[in-house]
Amino acid sequence: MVDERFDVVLSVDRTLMTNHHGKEFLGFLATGPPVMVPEKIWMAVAAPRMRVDDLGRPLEAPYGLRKIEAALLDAGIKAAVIDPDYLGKHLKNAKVLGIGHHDYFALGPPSSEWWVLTGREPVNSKCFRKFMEKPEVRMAKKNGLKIIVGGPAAWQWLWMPDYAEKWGVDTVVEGEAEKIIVSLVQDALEGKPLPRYVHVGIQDTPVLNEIPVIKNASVNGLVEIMRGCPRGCRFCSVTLRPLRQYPLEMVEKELRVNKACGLDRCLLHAEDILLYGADGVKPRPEPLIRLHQTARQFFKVVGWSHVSLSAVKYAEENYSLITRLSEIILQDEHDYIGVEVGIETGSPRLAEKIMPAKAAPYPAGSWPSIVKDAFSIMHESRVVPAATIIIGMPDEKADDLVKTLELIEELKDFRSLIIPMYFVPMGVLKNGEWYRAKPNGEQLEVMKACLKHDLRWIKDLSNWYFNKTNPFVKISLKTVIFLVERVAKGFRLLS
Amino acid sequence: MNPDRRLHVTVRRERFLEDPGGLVERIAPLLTRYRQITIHMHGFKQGELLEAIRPLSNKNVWATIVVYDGENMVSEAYDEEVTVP
Repeated sequence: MVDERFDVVLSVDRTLMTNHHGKEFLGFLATGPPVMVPEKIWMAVAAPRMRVDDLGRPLEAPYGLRKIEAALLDAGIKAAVIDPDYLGKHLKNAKVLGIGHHDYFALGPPSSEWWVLTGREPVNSKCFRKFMEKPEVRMAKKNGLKIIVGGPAAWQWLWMPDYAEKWGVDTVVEGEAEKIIVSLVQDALEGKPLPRYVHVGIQDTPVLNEIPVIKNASVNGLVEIMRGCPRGCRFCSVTLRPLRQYPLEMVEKELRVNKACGLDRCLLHAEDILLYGADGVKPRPEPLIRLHQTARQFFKVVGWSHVSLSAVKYAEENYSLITRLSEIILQDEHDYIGVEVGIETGSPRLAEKIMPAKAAPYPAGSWPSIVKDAFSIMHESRVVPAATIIIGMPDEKADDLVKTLELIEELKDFRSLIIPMYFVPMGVLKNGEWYRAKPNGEQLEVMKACLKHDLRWIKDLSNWYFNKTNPFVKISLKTVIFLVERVAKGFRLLS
Repeated sequence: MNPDRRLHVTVRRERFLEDPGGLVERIAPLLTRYRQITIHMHGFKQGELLEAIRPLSNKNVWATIVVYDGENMVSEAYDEEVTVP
């Protein structure tokens, strides 16, 4: 192996240092415990090992780690993202280990929901614990390694302070870290005291020209096109961040990086792709068409992370824009594009209360009809929504759940998956037995309705989704689907 | 928020234990008035420190908050200094 030393090693456990066989949706499996198959097979399907170079640097790495790596490299600091299986050699010399995670302790959705439903710890938190207890990490810590943790799940350390103490985490960083990470790491390299906790405020949140361009490839070619969200939903933290839109040249630079690293696909990422270049919350055709044409110049496969249902409706009804964009992206008449969307509730009352701007520019009270219209538009345009529904929100009443059940029933003929997210209030996390909380009767009915909907569509979708996937993954998942279907039939869910 | 103003807060464990809610209660109104708030927490174990500042993470905080162990004093120029509770 080539010998090169890095002062800063960035890494994370296998559930995130993976490309999920090029299928982001398989990442959901990495947030749950193994179901009906041994853990080894579950992990091999959900989170396969990544290809690495001679130094143990992964070909693709989580986008957040790539941004931090870029900020440090731009500042002249010797930093690299290293695969968790190759840490030993590098931690002997490194002074700082930086870790970013989506769900360190499986406290966020959907991990928390898996945990509540099965009573078993999801693989992501198990893997993370093993990562922190690796002998090479423990040895390096003993020898003075500084450990800085961050990412979207940084808040979880405040609920698991004993682990911070046990593993010797030096600093927890909450918020976008590109602007502050350089001085923090410089202090660590110079042996200065590090803060235990940093909350990145609005003035230290990077503006556009302070966000670095990634230097190496991101998982499945993910490139960010915007940060923040203007909709202000009460259950979402993204909404607290300022809205920033990358200029097309910046997006193009990152597409180029991924292309140069040998990737054959890209995934455009924003809280709402359709708001790129929008007039407030009203999508505009020109910027979106240019964005998609640019992406297609580089990659045959172009994916979307998230769109909002109100933007889908507005874009199609005013500009036939979903049809036009799908024509740019889809390769043939057998192709689909998958995307995450948020239904959250079928209750106009709850929609008005917890997400009053999610329906904008339409009134929040008409939320169920917006959802139906958007699903119909996506069905026609071969866009497949993976939709979330939140159950257990504060203020949720039985009637809200009935309305949600009615909406799920009305969506049955639209090609889609609907995933219930069980809301775990933070206050409950204080209780070590929080995951033993059980959904009530109406909530269980919503979960069953989602399962019924998904089993109706999953066979049709799996033929497309797993086309060109390796046979092991295809067979494993088809087996799990078959078993789940048998169990569901046993419980008369599919009658 | 004044873009340049910085606040320094000192927290002592023995006083904090007498009034655990005092820290966040005292700091909350200041969160909108300063660009950066540096908190030095004296006598806390790391786990206790993270637990003590936990309520801050639930608030809609616009200032940058930097929390040090009291043992790790960093001397900088601040516009205001307070001791809580």
